Amino acid sequence: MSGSERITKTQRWLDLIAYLVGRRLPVEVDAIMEAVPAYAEKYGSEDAKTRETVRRMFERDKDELRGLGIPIETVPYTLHYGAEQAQGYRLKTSDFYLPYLRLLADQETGGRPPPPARRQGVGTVELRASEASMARGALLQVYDLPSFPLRTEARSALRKLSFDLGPAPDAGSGSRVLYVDRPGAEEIRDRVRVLSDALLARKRVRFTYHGIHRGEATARDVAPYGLLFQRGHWYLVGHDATRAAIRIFRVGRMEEPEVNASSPRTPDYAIPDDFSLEGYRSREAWELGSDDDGWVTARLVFAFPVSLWADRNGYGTRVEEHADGSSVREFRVFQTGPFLRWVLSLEGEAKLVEPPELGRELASLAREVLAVYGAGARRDREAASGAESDG
Amino acid sequence: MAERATSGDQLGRILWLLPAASREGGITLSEAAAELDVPVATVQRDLGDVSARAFYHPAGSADEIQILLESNHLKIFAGNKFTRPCRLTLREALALSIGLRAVAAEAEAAGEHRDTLLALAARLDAQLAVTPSRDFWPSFSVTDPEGDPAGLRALLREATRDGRRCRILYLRAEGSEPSDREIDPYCLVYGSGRWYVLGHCGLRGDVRAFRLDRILEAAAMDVRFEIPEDFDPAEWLGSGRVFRAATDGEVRVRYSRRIAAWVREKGPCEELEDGSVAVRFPAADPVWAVRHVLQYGPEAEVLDPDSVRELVVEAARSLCE
Repeated sequence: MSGSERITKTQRWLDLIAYLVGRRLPVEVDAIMEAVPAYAEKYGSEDAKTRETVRRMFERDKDELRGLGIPIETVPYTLHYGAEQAQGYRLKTSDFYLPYLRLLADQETGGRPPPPARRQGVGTVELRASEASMARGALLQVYDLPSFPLRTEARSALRKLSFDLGPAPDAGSGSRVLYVDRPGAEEIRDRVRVLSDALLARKRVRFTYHGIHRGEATARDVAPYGLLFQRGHWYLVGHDATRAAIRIFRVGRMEEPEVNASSPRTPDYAIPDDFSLEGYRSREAWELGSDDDGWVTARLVFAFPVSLWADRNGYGTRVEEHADGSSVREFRVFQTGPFLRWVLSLEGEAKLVEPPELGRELASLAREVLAVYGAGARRDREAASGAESDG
Repeated sequence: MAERATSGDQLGRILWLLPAASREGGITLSEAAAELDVPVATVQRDLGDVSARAFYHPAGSADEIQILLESNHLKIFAGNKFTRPCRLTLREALALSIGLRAVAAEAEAAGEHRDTLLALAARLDAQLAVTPSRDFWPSFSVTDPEGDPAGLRALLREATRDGRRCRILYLRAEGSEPSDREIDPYCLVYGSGRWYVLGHCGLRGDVRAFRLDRILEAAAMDVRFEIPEDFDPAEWLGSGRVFRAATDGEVRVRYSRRIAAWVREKGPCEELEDGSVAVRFPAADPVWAVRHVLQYGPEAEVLDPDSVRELVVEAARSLCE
């Protein structure tokens, strides 16, 4: 068994990093071939093919390490006073190591010179205690999201920050935010990860999509523009080639997405400059629509104390406030159906006062509900009981 | 593909482990395993792979990494190399950016706080990452569309983390006046499209679920609490919805064929012959049940119990007039 067969890929990578990091001058490829044992053995061969194979192995290693966030640079430099051009490799201390994080008390406003860095070439970043806590809180928040595709990375970022900031608050086991599990949460996590990798590499994805309206399954070919998590679900927004338009897909309704595997390092598409994911975040169902579609302005009177609840959650716009604590709020309604159902669910604690035609629609919706229960409106019932007494 | 993921993961662990164990005092194996979220055996194997490098390096040519392991205690001497963790990778920086921006977006009401968060996100992204995430974060949004207009969710989230009692002004669904309560917030729960706080209520002397949208005000107090050992949030998360299980009574609701597909996605349900579905809600509060079915108009119907059916009829009648 030759020596290099025992050397694992991780060991080879570690040898390469250990050799390169902290060298001030770029190193040429021959020097690397000699210094890293896994390469050295084969590079010493007389056979040009073997030498070429190991040379290619280094190229792959370098690319994979860059992909893992180890910034090995390719640097051109000159030899013999400019007579010869060569190419070397470098891993700068300042690019490789995390800067020192120096915690300032909140009242400290900077101005003092930072303490000398303990290691040359590694900078210092000053953070107030409140900022450090915000950064950690933000990482814990995304870590807690169900199926968050960068969960492992949120955890490792937290670990790196904790190096200077002290032990991290509990992640995982100590989590105090829970999401009620939906069926298939595991598969969704895998799918979101695949989609997020495709999104970062700008690669197209194909999948079968089960639309909820007609219950049909259709093949889609999508250029991912964004991933949204809202109301407990993940959504993919992207340009669908089969529909020649931007579409939004619920990740839970797609079958195994497949990423275009050809030329993995070359992007398949660019996201248009005018695309904004924010526009796809759903607001209340009755607010969905565009100005071109037209809307009606509705007014609701909220009795006290429901008026406080409407205030706290910012429903509509408050236009009047009364001495008894009730308030009038105005709504711009694009979709009357969802709006009326919402008003219905408030059980009369919000009265629809304008426009009158919407009030009539609400009453008719309430009659439909009564019909489901086999009950009529009070007037009908009284009429019916009157008929009985007559008979 | 799998090998790359494994080697990449292992390298990531080693590049954190070396500086962590090089610090004064070192680290225990169990601490390292907990931090890295792997079994102790994995940490031991990683250390084995690092130390085995000495065997194939020609004498004296290897960077000298010395590993001292005494029972559970680990100390590493790595010379002047590997004494710091690596910069944040693109994906780590992205996780940080997405998180800070989500917190900022939800804190819209508190304008100044929001700007601080956005400035911090931009600064850390530029200063700590190998490859800043600025070209990628606009492709991710994890902001709750409900937002957190009054900053109450952020406040309660922090209180659950720190174990701090809170004073809240709570508006019950029955429409009575809001009441002042002291609660020990055990955890925040998202389910059925809403946020809830599960915690001990001083007024009721028991654990309760509070709907976050009905908490009108909240303030953290200077009182700490411990979560009792017998508290199990799983009791509240049965059937994909936030309810306390194991109490008497249930409400059974039928959803029409038109909306059955949406209901099936939310959790387990009973299939009925005409293509509609039924769901049993354990111990559902009647007020909740009435509002729940009314939001679906004629597409949902309470099947049992009759008392709740009557309440729905009464509510619908009042709206016909």
